[in-house]
Amino acid sequence: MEPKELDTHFSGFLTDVDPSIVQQLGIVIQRIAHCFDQEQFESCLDYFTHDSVYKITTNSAELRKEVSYLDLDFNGLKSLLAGIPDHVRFPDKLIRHICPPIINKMDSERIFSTTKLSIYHVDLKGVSGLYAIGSYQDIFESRLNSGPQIIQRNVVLETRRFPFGSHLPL
Amino acid sequence: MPTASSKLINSPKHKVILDSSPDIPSTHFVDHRIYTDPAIFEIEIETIFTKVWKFVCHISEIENPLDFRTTEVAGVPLIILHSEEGSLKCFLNVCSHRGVKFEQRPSGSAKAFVCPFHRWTYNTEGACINVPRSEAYDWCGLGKEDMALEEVRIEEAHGLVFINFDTEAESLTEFLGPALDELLPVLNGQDLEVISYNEQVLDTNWKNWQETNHELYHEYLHVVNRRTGLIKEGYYDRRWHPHPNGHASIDPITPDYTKMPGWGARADISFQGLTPAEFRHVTLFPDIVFLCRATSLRIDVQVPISAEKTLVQFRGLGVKGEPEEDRKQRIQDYNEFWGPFGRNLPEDMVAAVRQAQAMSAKVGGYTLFAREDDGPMDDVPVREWYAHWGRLTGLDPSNP
Repeated sequence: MEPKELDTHFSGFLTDVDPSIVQQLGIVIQRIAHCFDQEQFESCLDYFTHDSVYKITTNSAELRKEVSYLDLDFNGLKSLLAGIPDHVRFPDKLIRHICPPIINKMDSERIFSTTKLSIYHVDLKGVSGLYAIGSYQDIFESRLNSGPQIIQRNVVLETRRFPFGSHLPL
Repeated sequence: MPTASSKLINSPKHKVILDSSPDIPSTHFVDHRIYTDPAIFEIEIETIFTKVWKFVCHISEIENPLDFRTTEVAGVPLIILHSEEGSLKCFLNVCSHRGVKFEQRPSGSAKAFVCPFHRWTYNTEGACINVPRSEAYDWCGLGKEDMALEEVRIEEAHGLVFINFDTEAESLTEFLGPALDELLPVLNGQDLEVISYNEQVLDTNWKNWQETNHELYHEYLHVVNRRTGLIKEGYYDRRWHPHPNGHASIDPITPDYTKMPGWGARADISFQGLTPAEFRHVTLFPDIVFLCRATSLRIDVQVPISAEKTLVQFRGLGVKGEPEEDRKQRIQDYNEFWGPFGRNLPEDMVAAVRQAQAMSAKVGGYTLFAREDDGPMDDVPVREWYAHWGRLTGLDPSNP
């Protein structure tokens, strides 16, 4: 889906959504964040469809256009996560704080949601700081019977200057 | 033999280094104070960053008339622009009236720049074109013509835009010499544009970052390099080529990227001027590196903030007007290696920051650049870099 088309999908919000849908999506988003924080990667992947896409983007004021920092299909994400233990990494833990989602749009096939996000980092001495802020723009499958699954996640970052790089997707 | 042992604390670690290398020439190690001493940092600003050509942006960032880009060099805010009349200009981003940084945006397009404080206005030639109620200056003869923005030398070569505060400095062409020759087929073989940009502020000295970019012994840090490059036949046959003014380049190599699970060969959309999947690597004094891994070109440039804090700007370049599929692949290739969430860049940062953590602990000591094997892991480019650093600063890096 083109960025402009996505902008349209995520620009507004619905006011008459069944609260149980918001709750279901919110639980999944919280669980994914928890699994990433805990680095339980196999569990993270359970919430993504096998044809899903995971992106990290930002609107670069320097280039005056959208910049992509990550754009992986399901297998790419799986491969990235599997390779993390091989890397020399910053010892800081990343901890995701997220607000309840809003539902931007829904149809018979997809639910579009936006979740405000802030990510903190804490080092081995317990010193913490803000790593990045932004939002999750998620597209879920509408069929929630077997639990919500994400078709596409775009981590839209407001932060463009990072204290350090991360091998872990946000 | 190192002669500055008197300033070392009685640390077994440092004794080991010194005692085990008693005959190392002073050209082959540097004193850690050059990374931590604020006075040395100020000398560097004065003798290097205000004296040599400094990369500020790629031409694609200010492609059209009225495009501008702001940055900082040697602590001085600058605005780089493509003037209405079509020339490249660099001015201090400082209003001539009360010293306000008049343009806050990192980039944009503007026919004129209005200082918000008193609405003094400048055109893209740097001329002051409006001073509200200017008659109050008539008594002393100050007019708009006296209030132009301070101009800084700017030159472009192969799409790379540099500035220099020193009006007496050599030309950019003379400064570069043959250093960029290895990259010219890429830089001039196609229209390039910046397709990725990010900044990171590292708690480390700027030289630590620059060294990481041309001390290739550190490739052992990276699992990607160990799998795709170090095992490759011919890897150790390459040689560094130091160039005048502290620049350096190394013979190319063709890594096997398919050794990383899920990675492609990078052969299909390699830049024109390269053989498929080829890697070329050039460093420019004082703080620039060009890393060209077949499909993506990375340019690092640094904005030293203090002795122990450095802003690094990372640019990724691609081919202008290329098909969407190629662009997507190129960005992916760039990101998987060098993006802020890629495989290698975070590892380099770990190393540079952890160096600083030990150096800033005031433990003294030295860093060795003593490798001599005439191969890619020879420290010769770093030694030549420090020889030039010494010429400019007037300091001996082994005993400042």
